[in-house]
Amino acid sequence: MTLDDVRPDQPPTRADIDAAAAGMLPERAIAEGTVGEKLRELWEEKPGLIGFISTVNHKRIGRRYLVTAGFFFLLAGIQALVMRTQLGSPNNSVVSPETYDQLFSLHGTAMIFFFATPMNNGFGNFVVPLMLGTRDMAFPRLNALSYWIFLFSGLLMFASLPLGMAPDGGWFAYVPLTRQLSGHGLDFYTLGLLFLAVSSTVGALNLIVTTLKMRAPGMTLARMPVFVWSILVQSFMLLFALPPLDLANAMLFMDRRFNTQFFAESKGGDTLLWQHLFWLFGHPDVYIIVLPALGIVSSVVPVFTRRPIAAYPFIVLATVATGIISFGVWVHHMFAVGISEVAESFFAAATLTISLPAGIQMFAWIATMWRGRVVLSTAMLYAISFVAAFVVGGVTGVMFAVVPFDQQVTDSYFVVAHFHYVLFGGAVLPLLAGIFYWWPKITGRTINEKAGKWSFVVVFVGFNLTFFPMHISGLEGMPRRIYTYGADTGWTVWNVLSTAGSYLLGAGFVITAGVLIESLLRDRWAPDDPWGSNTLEWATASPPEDYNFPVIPTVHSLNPLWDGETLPSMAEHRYDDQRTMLDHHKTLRTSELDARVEAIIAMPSDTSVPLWLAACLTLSVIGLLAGLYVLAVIAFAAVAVAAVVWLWKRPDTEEPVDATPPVGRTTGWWAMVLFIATEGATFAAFVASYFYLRFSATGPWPPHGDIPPKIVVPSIATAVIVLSCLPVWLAGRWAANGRRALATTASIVTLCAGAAFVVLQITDWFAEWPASTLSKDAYGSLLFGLTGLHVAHVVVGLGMLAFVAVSLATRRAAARPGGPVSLIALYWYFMALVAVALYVTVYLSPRW
Amino acid sequence: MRLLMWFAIAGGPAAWAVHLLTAWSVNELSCLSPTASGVALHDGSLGTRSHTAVWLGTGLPWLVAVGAVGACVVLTRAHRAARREEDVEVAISERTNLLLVLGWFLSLMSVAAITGGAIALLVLEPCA
Repeated sequence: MTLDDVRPDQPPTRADIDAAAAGMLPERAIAEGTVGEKLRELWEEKPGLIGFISTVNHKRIGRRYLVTAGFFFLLAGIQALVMRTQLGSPNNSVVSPETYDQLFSLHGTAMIFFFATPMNNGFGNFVVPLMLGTRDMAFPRLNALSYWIFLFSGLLMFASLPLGMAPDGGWFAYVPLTRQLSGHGLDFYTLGLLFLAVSSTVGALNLIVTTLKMRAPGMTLARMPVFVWSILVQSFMLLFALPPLDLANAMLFMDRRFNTQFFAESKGGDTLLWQHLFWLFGHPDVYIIVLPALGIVSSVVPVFTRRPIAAYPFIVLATVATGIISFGVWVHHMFAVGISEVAESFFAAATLTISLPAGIQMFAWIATMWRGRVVLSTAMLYAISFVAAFVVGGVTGVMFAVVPFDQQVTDSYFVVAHFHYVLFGGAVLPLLAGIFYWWPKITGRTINEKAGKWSFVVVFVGFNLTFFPMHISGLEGMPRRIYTYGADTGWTVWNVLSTAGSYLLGAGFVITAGVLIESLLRDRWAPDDPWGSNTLEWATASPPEDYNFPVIPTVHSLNPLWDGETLPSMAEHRYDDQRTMLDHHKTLRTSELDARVEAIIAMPSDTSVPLWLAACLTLSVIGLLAGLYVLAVIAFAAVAVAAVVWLWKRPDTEEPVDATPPVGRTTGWWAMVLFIATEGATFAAFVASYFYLRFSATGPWPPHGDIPPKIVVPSIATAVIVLSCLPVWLAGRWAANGRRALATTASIVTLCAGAAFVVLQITDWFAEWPASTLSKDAYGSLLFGLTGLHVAHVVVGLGMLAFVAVSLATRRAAARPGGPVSLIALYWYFMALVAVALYVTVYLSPRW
Repeated sequence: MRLLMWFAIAGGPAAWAVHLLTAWSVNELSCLSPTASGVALHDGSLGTRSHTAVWLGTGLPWLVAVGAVGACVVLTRAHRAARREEDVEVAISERTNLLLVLGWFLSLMSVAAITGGAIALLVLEPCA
């Protein structure tokens, strides 16, 4: 294609030709020439500090995620070096045993929660909207909130170490030890992770809705890049994996702080419950970390082999299958706790199955390289090294599916070696590949490839030298988490090698940092597409403009930059108002399966409210941590105020396309459904915990001979909230028909019914249950925990209802199909459903 | 057809999830705690009453997973017929093909995983 082909009516201008010569793709140059100036004015961000704190631009937020996660990686890496120094020789005393406990606990927690997952989130934030051909995330302000919470929770967690209050019960914090450990270490752990979960949940929700509803026209599911698939699956996994962890952390915090009995064996609790809940999160989390990394490899390999990825449908299915199976293998972390062989066999079968999809991906990458022409760039070297390392980690993983072997090596250094090959080899190496691959797009600069390759060599050798000897020391019986060992154990040589390797690895990262900093200091500007890539992010400027694409393209294939049709569509549509959207911050909403255009939606402008909301939430967490409950409540009230300010100013408009009214599910509908799904998983995990404790109790239920609870007041309360579904349903229908007054009235009726439910539930608490019930036994803890969590949710629902009622009355909220009233109605039906489930669980089931 | 496609993709994994949760939980709770509250799960000797429940939690999901494989067969034939008659857009054909690959793999994998559990039930004592 030439410039003349796409502009037959006007010859190319001098500026177009100069732009193409300077590295701009000709099609983008044409589109920019037509609409770029106007879009730059519209999307330009505020300069200086105000712009810094109020940005909601996905690229800036993505870069912040990468830098912040990199900083946390540095801190956790220094902790690892201190630990390796301590283990570098027998009977060493560089650090005390107490400090060593804090170091390995915080190292594991930080690497898993504050480096690997957020690093993936950084790439997801920066790259996914660009790959999809849209202008921002579905919910830019939520995106900013997600980042600020991640930053504050990370700072809070790392602040615990200099304060001498770091978690010291290991990264999986097994009870009963962690229930009994004194000090604030485990409070930092439980509250810090609960706080971070807010960020992870809203981030995942945002990425899912963006992927499902914001793809450029023509990008059907079968044309979605593998990296986007991996982020989509990872985000779904987060929504369902985090609730059990959140629940476990909340229970542990309550046990420690308020003397509840969830994990107290003598009071009807169960220590194994922690392990089940933790690993229900913990094993999927391995894939939550690894899947996006595999997606990065699937992005890098085709570009540097100069051919489309082999077996694309099989890679997609492997990604989806891994996500699903990973939820069914958690018990293999518990093979040594004494459960029956039949139960172990179920999970051994599942664990063996999960190696199949991973194998499929391996063969697909090898086939792509086999049939292509490999270019050994730094990014490609990291991608290839990942394949080798992940095979080693995968093979030892399959060994753990064999129950007798697992029982032999449980809690030895063999396990440490295995998971570092999986997590470092399977995630950090691909993340480094991703950094080198997308660096020109992220910064607009190229790197010194020769220096980059040297950094790779040092990192790869250092990585293997650090972690491979751990296989042997583990097989020779060295337990993990010991702070020192005797000279007569025979472990010295392997530990010396590991320690030397860790210093080499550290040197490798110093060289890598040097390569990247050198690139930032030099003016080696990158063209739009320095690698000759295949996906849409390379059709933008390097770094991309604030609006990403001057014209939203039509996608014609899985490799849009190679198909010869997608790029020209940018130039062809440059006078199409619905592809340029020059009158406001807007982008296209498309259908979930086939990316057909459904509506033009307004995007919110910059605001600092997410920062203030996150800051108030941080204060609330600090209040809980320090036992300053008044501060916690006041700060949480400030969170509610910030939320009202946020929602009061958000745009709520959808425009027709080609005179057709907006069709399809809205982004808000998807967000609400996903939110309900993750909250539903929380309640399901809580109810499952109830029955787990009930059936594993070593005595009557409720324990200590309590009579079954009275059910009159709970029956009335449940009936009230179920019946309140009718007015909220009517409110949704009336709002959809534009009948504001009726919709407002019905919302107020629902509000009153909800308030009555809360009053009845609180009445039941005070009338029937003395305050000591909470800590009397596991039943009391479960009763207050389940009903208390539900009441808290209902109160939030009441707040939303009140807000919507006022918004409708003052004409701030749109009275249209799919508007806010119908979304609140969905939440309210969910509340009623949970009320019925809890009524049956807590009040009726003890009578069976 | 849309419902059948959903069943072809999600039926197998859902059946496997049901198998894992019911068979595991009944087995673990009845074998770990021969207590008064667990009386519904056993009749005095470990795992005896629950073993039937575990078998049901394995056999029924296995049938559902096999049904999902059957749905994949039906949909694959229908899709091939539509393609032969050029009755389907290229983009939609690509997407259907992708979903069918997904359905085939997930259903077969679920059948394999549940079969693995059934073999364990055949060769091991209820509370071994």
